[in-house]
Amino acid sequence: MNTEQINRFDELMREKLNSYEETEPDIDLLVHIHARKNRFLRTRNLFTLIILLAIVSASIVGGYYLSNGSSNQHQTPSTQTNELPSLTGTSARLPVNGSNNNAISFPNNFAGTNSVAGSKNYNIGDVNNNHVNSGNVNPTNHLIGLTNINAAPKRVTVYNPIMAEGLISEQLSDIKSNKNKTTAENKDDALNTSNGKNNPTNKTEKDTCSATISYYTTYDYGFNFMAKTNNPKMQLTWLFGDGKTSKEESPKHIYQKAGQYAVTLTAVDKTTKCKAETYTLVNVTTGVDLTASSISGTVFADAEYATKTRVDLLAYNSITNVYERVQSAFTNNKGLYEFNEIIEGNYLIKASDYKDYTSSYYGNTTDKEYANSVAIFANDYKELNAYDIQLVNHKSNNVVSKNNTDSGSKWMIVLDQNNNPIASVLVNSNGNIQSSGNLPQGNYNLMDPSTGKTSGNLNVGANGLKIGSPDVSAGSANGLAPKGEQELVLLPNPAIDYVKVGLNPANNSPIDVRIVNSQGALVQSYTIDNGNGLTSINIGSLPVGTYYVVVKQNGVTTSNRLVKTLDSSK
Amino acid sequence: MERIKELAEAELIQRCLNNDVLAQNELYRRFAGKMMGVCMRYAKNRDDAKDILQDAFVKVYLNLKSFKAEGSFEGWIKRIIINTAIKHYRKNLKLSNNVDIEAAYDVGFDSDIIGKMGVTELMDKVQTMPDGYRTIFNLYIVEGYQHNEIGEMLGISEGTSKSQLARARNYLIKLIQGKNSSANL
Repeated sequence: MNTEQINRFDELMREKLNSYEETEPDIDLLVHIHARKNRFLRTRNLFTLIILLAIVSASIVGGYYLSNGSSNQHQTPSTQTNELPSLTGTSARLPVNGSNNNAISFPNNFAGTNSVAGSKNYNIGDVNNNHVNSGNVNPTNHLIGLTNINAAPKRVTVYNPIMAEGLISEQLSDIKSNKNKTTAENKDDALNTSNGKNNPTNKTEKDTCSATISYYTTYDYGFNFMAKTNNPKMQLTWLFGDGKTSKEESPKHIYQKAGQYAVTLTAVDKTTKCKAETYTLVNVTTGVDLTASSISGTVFADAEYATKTRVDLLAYNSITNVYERVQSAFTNNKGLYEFNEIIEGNYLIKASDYKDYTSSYYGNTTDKEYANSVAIFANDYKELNAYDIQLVNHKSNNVVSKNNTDSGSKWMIVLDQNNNPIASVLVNSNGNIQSSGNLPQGNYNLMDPSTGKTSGNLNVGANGLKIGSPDVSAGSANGLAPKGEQELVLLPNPAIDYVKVGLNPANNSPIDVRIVNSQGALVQSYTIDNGNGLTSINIGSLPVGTYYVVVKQNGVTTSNRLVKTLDSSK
Repeated sequence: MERIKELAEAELIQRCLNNDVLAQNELYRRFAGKMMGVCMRYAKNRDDAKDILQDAFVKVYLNLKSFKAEGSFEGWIKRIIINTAIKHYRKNLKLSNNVDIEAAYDVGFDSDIIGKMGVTELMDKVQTMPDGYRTIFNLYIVEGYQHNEIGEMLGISEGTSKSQLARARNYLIKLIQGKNSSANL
């Protein structure tokens, strides 16, 4: 075909295929959306919306929906959790309230309530991760009783299996609360005065109403507000100061831009017309683009594990110094998992085989999608060390913001002496480490994950890896400069049965070849006696996937990425 | 109901954002037919196309707030559909893209045969193509993306995109004209 024919063909295709359109939309699709997809939905509002949408759709097509098993479509979240025991993404890490000094209350609508209440024992720690207490959640009142809580206020974290957070006692912020004008206490409060003028209808001297705001922040820069009123029937209105509002009792709000915001809470008692208004100022240090992205990937696993493997997405909390679960997802029968509405940052991803974590990998939402693959092999469990793949959320306070503007900054994989990837650090173009973590003292090679090549090294001193620490450096160059002058040649790449390995420029010295899988486990090793030229290595027995070939000659290590594929002719 | 069908797009979106269920339904009604057509092109079969449409519409609802009125709304939805479709077959794409590229051999085509072909029949043929071919065929020929853009979307090189497209064209022509076709124009 010549160019003209190709253009004619393309034109024909475009014309015809673009004209294809289904005449009647499939209304029943919406029902499926709800039934199949609700674990991806993050908010209760949206959840409700889709259900309503399904119902409305049904009514439009004259009862079609109702005649097709509507009861199945009205499953509550808790019914869903029977299918997916433990956690769904929605239920992970909801805030819990601690409204008095000795109990935390879980919200009644906690998705997966079954797994909260019951015989399970929860560990409770304070904000510094020190163990405080343990207890069971009472199935009727959703309270977990605490003793030995000394001084309030205290923020606590309830550990496994549900990551939850709550306030023990109220941590009141800079609150200006007021009561209606018939009360005497509010006379010196400017806000009260203006507010009082708005309530001329209140005539009962004894009717008072009050509202206070408390809040705490979470790892995702979310502000979790709580309203406390002296009358539970009051109608609440929150103004978050950025144009967004809420009518919930405990709304969570995430600001898109940094700055100081006045958060206003108005509580109205419709019966008595009593109205209370209060505000507090919050300082937002980090704005978050909630439209960010999703992370999805594949669990490469034996068939037994590929289906419904639980995959956890964890973010590093620089306050508590622990990884906290942000979301959980289950793989589908193709091993695919997906996390949605992820804010920009770096995450640790772990996959479990129902019992223990068996593998982990890091994710970076700047890769947007498909960045991650987690491998689980039934007989290849890899025990995680405390420092396994430590990643620092680069938006945390520990990391100076200049790395955002430094276009030379790069995430580098830290390899240990056996060339196993153990961590990931951010290195700016000056070679300064922008991450902190608890790597043991030692010398490490750094690998550029985009090329799979070793480039630079990292010396960690006795104090661990800390930003600005004088005994940390990323090599004499900037840490990003190619190390070693030889290039590792892999031909072909992708390869099927054989790969030819050699160094360029070559010499006669022997080459030690190691092939490691994407999890860093050694899968094959080989010694080339004479390093001159290319040597064929049989990789026929390796599973399809991505590997790193790490070679060592005269003490110098070089690595490159190798893709093993299927033979399409078979 | 009549009124909501006449709503301007911008107002419809605004009402959707305000959780107006009627508006949400109208949004779906307006675009589902056309977008199902797009899904059909990227999918192996009708069931897969439905799956993709469902996934994509969930994303549309979730991300409606991020739609900026700068571009066409239909284009925005379509882009979500395409991304979802690519993701759907991504695992298969990876493998086929890693296969060594053999030299694309030449096939002639008979513009009469193709010109007279019905759209539904053509869609059947398109769906029969291997996942990798079909995706690149759609992205380049129907959607008009450039090879460097396709490379970025699929995580392959520009060269791979080019050679796979040439093979996809030949594959489709052979499918349409039958293996014994000797037409060579």
